[in-house]
Amino acid sequence: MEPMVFIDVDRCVGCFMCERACALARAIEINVNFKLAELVRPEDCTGCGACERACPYSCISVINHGVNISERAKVTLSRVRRNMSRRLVTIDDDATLREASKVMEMEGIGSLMIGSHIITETDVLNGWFSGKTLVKEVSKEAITIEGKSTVDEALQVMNEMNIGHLPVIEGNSIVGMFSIRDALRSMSVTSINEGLKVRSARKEEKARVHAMEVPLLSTGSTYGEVYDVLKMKGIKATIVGDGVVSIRDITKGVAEGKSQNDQVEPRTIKHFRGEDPLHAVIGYMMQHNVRHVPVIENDKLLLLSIREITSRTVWIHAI
Amino acid sequence: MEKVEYKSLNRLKNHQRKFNFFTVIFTIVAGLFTWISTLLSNVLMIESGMLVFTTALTILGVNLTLDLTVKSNTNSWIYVQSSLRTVSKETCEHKPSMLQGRLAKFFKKKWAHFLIIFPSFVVFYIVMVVGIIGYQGLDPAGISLVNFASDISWFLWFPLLWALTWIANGRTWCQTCPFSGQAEWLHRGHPWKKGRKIGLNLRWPMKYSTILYSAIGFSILTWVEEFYNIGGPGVPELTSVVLIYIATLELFVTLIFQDRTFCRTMCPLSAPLALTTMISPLGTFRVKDQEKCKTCTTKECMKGNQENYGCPWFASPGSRETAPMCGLASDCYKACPHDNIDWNVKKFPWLGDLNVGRKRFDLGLSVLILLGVVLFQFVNAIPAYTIIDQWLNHFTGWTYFSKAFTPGLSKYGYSNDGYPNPVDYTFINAIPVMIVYAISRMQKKVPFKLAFTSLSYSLVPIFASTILARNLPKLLGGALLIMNEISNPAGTGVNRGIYSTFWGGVLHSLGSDPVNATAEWWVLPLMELVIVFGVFLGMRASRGLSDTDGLDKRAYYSLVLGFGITFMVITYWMSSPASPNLPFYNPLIGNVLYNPLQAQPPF
Repeated sequence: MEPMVFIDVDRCVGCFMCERACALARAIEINVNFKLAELVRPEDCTGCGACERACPYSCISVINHGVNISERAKVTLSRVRRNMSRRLVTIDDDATLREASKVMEMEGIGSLMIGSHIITETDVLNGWFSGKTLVKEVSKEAITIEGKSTVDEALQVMNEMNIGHLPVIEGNSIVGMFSIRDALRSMSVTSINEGLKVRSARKEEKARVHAMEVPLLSTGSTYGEVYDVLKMKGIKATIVGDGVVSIRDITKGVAEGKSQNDQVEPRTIKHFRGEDPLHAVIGYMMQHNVRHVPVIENDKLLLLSIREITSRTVWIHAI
Repeated sequence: MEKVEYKSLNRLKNHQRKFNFFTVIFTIVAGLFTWISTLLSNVLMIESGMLVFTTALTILGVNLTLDLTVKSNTNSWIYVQSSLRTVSKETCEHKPSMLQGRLAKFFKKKWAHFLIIFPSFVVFYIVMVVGIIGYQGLDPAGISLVNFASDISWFLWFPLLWALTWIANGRTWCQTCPFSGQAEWLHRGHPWKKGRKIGLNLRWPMKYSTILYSAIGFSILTWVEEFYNIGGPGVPELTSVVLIYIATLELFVTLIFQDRTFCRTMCPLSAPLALTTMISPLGTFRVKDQEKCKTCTTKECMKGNQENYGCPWFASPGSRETAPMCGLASDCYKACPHDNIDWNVKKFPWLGDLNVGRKRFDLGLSVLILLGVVLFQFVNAIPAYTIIDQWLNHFTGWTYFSKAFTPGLSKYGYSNDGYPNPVDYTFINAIPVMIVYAISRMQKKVPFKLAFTSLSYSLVPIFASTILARNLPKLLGGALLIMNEISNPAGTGVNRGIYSTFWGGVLHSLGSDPVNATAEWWVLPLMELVIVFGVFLGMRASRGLSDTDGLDKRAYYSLVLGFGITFMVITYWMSSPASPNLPFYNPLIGNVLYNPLQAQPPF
């Protein structure tokens, strides 16, 4: 049963006590114009009754008979709106690809919004290698997701469409961006409970579980060569020498004005070992803002990517 | 504050059901009591039974109507969302706050409120006692002019209640109210010290949290008052019974429900005073700095602290929206640890609290019901009404019942063959509701509920001014008689000739004729002036309401002017000398046209 919240509009004076009490779910808010408490996000209400206890005039009644409060709280915390990044970087329609890649590089992000259109690193590179110069030539209508969807639903969309960024919609406007890295972050902030069958970042899980074999290129490969390999294999990064080159590095090259025949500069990232715990790797990835790390397993270099971790994890489903 | 705990929806519903169940029991008991009293022919018992019975019936009726019409389990039906309005500085430039200097210090004292209530407490206990033991006889016009009880109640207190609208604010009466005062002392166990609250402290069911009980209660109480001619002022013991009924009921309710639930929801004066407070010059307790309250986590103004109680009225000083419900108890002012509470004085035309973002449908409906009551009080002074009323009484057989309800009153000089007939009373009460309903149905741009509420709000000044105007003849034509009664409250042996007493003589020389229940001629222009002022305020309110709520100005203007002019014309006609010797005489209206110098404004 959904919890029900009844608010006495005769007595409610908009004192903010319930809003303050609903710190976790943020489901109840004061409408400052009318000085009235409103249940603005009923789907987020966990039914905990904190607002009822906080109300000085007993204006609120929470009916939570048969509601599993802790489970609802987990769903609430795994909503896209809780884990998205609110910073939305936009670019003009007639900007060049180089300008776009510069912005991405500077902001450390992988996509830009142009109205309801989106341009990602992959689009920039596709454009670059097929000789296009303007953003409007490569940008696409964005696939969006609602803020109240769960991370699980967002990941399903991402995996189905093979994309890494979802603009988040609340009402009629775009309020943030949910990237695959945000999904990983959400995993690290959600407390994991055995009863909910969440497999992510359990202590015993090792880095090797999700590590993948990728083509090993030699040092001195050019941008063109690396990009061809990535495109052929349908992957976002590979190992060059003993460093990693991802589409982000190629985009950085675009931003710096490199040509397709210049040599790539692989990023040297700490090499993990196959028996390292997965949560340590995730922590490193979050901290250093990287999407791929090399993993040594039986003297072979494998690559561990965010997409692999997130897509193979069982997430909390909406109840 | 104890709370009724609802664990499931069933609990919530059970609370409502239980409440209704006990109300039904209460109604049946009160009905039986009234019936038995009728058999016993004891008029005081009948009157008190009738008062209790109608009160219970009002609660039951409103509850059942809500159950039938409102599906949700909350009272969200009373809430009307209006558009935003930028709040300008609305305090007076000359004297922005009441709480300066000595008054500020006085209200910080714990016994301040007790001290304010105590004088009226004493006076009203004298009234209750004197009303029963004093002289009961009426003069030929059917009014009592010598008993302190009925005279101070209806010559002074009642008119003053409406004059408060523009002298201070309506709720200043609530601040001094002895009935709620003694109930609060009982509930808190001490006149001013903080202690443990006694009683059940139940919550009034959420779905039924509305002020409609009060408005309908006022209407029904007015009917009882007219029926027994209590406010004439009539037989003094009947006035005493009304006061005792209010006092007892409040004591009873305070032991069952939380704090001032009675005052807020049930008291017949709550709705009218809430409305007049919205347009008075004196504001209510309000926070100085909203930002301070946002960060305040203790909310001592609402919850109270070790030393002080929180607001017993459930009206935090935090918002303009709750201004009509502030009973000026000053508990918030004492409790606030940040000294952030002020008692502001509004800026002319004092309409700041009327046009708020969060309007209330039930308050809007109350305005119309109360305006209907006032309309009745005006219309009943026109001869045509008496003719229709008498015909209806005989036609419906109401005369027979009315005789049964008024045994033994004729020996005091009271006579009644059924006035006012419940049918025509209800009809006249409903006229404003019907008119505003029709006009708001015609509004296409705005949802009906908002249109109805907004249009009703523009009539608040009309209500406040007309009810004051209607009571002016009593105040100006009779209040001086109280001076006689101070030395002889029971009034024994004075009735021989009221004009031979000192203050009776003064009144007579001024042109008043209390023996025939009429006031001086110059009261007529004064009444008209008050109504004109009400119309002016109504027009100002209309302009603001039209700006925020998006209705056509013409809709408001036609309502305000329509009601205003109607009341002014009726005022003129009802004050006519009704003399066939003068020109333009009409048996239905009196003198259609006459010289205002010959006016005889009726009590």
